[in-house]
Amino acid sequence: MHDQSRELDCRGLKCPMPIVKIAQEAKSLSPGELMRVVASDPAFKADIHAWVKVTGNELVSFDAGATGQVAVVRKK
Amino acid sequence: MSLAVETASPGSRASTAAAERMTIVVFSGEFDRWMAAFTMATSAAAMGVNVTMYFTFWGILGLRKRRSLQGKSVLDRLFSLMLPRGLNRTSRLNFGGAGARLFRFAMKRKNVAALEDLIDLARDLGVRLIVCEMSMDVMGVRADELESGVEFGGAASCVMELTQPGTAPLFI
Repeated sequence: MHDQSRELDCRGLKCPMPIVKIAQEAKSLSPGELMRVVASDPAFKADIHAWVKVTGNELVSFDAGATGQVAVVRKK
Repeated sequence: MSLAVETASPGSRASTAAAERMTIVVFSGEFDRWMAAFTMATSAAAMGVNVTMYFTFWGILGLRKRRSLQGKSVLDRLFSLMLPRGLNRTSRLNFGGAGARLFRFAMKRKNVAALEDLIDLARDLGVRLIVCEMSMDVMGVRADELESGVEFGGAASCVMELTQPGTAPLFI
């Protein structure tokens, strides 16, 4: 299902830019649509959790691996 | 002068933010404090929070795009000449402006968004910028010296913004 999700590359961006980019990108998503975000900012884990909690969107998955952090978000 | 930050106590609403609105009183005009203010403003706006920034005293100086002396009284001219221009001072370790340059250099190097970009972004995200009329009057700053698109208001409009239910107030 990730094949059809929107991709957003936030690698290299620092706080608050990943969250700002996600918010901007999320505006153009339809409800239920997925967005896959890759980020390197150390604050990203805490911030993406905060963002979904406040905005009411869903964090489908969050993985932190050697290649970076990957979050999959579903638009509410 | 210390950085005073006051926040609303965390609310008990479960699923979303305790506050739906954030009002930031920007009293300071230093680069580092503006970074803090606009980082909070853009983040909050990105989280769906309605953000209003209210600029007073030194805060309005960062919104000056030019300095004009024409048609001003002696007192206003004196103020205009004495007031610092632009956001090139830091509140700590300023060293005659070297601190702000070092900050800008380090931030660029580490790929942190520039202050000017955050300001533009805040406006794109719908953050309202309101300038204190009284501060402008006292310091002899005219509307045509400020960035376009800002609003003007007094203390009452600021208090109204600050006391709306579900508002997180910040004073920077």
